[in-house]
Amino acid sequence: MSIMSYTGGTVLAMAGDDCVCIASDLRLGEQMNTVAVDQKKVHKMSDKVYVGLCGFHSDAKTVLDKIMFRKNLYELRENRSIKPKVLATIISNLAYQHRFGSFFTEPLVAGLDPVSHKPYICAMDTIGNICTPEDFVAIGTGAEYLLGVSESFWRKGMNSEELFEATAQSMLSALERDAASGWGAVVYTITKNNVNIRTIKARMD
Amino acid sequence: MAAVDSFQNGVLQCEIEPNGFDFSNCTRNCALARMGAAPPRLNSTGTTIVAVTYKDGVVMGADSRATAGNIIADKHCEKVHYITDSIYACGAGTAADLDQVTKMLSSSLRLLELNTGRKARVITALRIAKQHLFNYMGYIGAYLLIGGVDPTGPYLYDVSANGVTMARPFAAQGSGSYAAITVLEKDFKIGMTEEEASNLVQVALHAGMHGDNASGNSLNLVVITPEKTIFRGPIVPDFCNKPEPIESDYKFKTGSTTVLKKKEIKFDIVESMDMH
Amino acid sequence: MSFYQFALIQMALKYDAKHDPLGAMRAFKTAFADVEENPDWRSRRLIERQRWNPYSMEGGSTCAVAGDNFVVVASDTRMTAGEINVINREVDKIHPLSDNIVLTTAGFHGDALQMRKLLETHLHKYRFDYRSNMTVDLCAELLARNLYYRRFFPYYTGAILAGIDEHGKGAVFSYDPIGCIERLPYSASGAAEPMLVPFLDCQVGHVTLSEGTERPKLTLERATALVRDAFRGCAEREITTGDSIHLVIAEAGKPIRHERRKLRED
Repeated sequence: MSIMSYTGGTVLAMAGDDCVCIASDLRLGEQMNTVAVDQKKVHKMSDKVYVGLCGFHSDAKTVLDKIMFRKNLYELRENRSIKPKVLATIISNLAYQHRFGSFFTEPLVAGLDPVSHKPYICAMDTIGNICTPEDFVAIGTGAEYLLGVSESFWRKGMNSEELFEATAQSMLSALERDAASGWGAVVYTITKNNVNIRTIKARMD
Repeated sequence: MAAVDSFQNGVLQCEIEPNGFDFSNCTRNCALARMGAAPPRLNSTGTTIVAVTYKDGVVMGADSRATAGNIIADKHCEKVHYITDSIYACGAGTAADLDQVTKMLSSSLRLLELNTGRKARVITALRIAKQHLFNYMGYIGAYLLIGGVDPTGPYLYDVSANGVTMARPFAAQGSGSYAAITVLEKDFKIGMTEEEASNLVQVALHAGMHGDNASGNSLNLVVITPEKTIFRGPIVPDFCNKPEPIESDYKFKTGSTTVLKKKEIKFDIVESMDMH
Repeated sequence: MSFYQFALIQMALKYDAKHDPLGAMRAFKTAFADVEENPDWRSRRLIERQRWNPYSMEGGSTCAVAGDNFVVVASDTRMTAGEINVINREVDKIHPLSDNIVLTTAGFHGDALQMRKLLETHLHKYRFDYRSNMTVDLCAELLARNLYYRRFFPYYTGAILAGIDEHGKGAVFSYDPIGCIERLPYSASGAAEPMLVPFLDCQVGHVTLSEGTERPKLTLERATALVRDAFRGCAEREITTGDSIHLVIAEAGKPIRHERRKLRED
């Protein structure tokens, strides 16, 4: 059993036309036991920037605190809201600082640029290698399942409703097979004017 | 800083001005490894990278696939890294290490250029890279091809993760290097033209991308001449295209997913006074 | 997780997690103290010695979908050495055993060939003894028993047996390497199994859709299209799957058809 699947959890982000979706499951486990069923792995960084943290939950929490600290410091110093790309670089450097003896968590950043509203999604490995595709990224125990289905369900230029359905259906398909994630899912749809947070019906196991 | 005591201050300093690597998790992670937990999978650039010197310049190229185990983590990974205007590096190995090492190289060479007022030499880049890598005894998994054009001519060096370096007329690295080097060994000639060299690099990359599972998707190329540096890419070879598109349209109608709870955060549109 | 890895972990954890939940914590503390006393970085770098392994994995993936009166079996045709090098681009991993039985395999190709030969021999003998062809249910049971017969030195294959049963319906049987058998409406196996299965769950099983949404019927055309798309998707994301799709379609009362489509080669 790898430590990366000790507590379980999966996050998926998809990019559309001036919108992004980020979905997370709700399970927190301890190997085969489920401990909590309301644990979102997605965290708000600013109005239009969200971070997903998968992997070992204790490390995810520590890293979240560290990210928050750096993000707040950045916003105080620069007096403007943070861009997703800048946040990704900050997280990447933080993760690489722990290159030897890494935090067992994979971060994911999804959001819209606060000025140009261009979508940005990226995922990292545990030591901060950023990959920024234009379509979708997935992390966590169900990443492999998600990448397979999203490859068929993602299309270019989806609007926010289509994007929500594609993200939700990909997530549900993956939860069908991933034992370490589950107990429902929550999908954030970030657009220029609002953020829609929808809890979707999924298998509860 | 009056509100914090000296201990807190020390912790804060570490957070605000990080200095090198932080080894604080090492003991815990080793203990976990001894408990039998497998270490997490890192992204690797299971790669084909190729570089060739020609009459008065260097051509370097790389594929664009990053893998995590047998999964393609990134289809458009940039493996040709900018160092200075006339020096580039191609990297194979651990993806995060490559990003950071080349970032460090380019910033320290830029500083050097500003301090000395002249262009950095390829050998300087090589020396900085090898000293850094040797320091970490091969634990930083970066295998680099550093190439560039100095006022004295074109140079190409091969750097291993443990700090071994070699000067070479042509080189290939990464998991696809066996396929690529066969092409180079067969067709490399001293004093080629720019076109011949860039064709040779492309053919070698094709061989690597075709025969090696961990390389593919597209290729990036940089041609460095004494006058200018031309970056070309991504170029998608014929065999890297999808032969047939997906036939059905997997479009889900609105309402395909059952929504249990819905919450909306509306942004107030406040007229912005600052100029972006 | 392979059998060997699992055995290794079992050896490493010297406590019973179920009856002694604090054992994990104690073991971790011991390991922690051990690392502090003789840390990895002060010892010489570990050289992991490669033990001889009777198995090798040739990558690739395969899947089967059963319909009302047909079954679609598909696999890619790439053969890989050590996850990296392509050693053959036109391997047949689908083995039609008779007019209504198709065996498809992923994993160790050597074992797959041996298994095919074994089944063919049994089928031949059955035909000789009983003057009729074996049904797919019987063949499935035969395969399960032959796999379990090798419980402690298994055939390292993820096998799927598909065919048309005696009622003219499509049947798919899925196995683990030691003969756990299950009849399923669809199944996948191999390196890209985690990518194929959720896709089929969504498109064939329709388990993710809300109640009111229409569910298209599984026709032969739809099944073949879905299977092709599933492979196109995983050829994008899985490195040992590619080159071409080999489809074998068995319909009730018709001879077995073969179809080949190109996949990406890189």
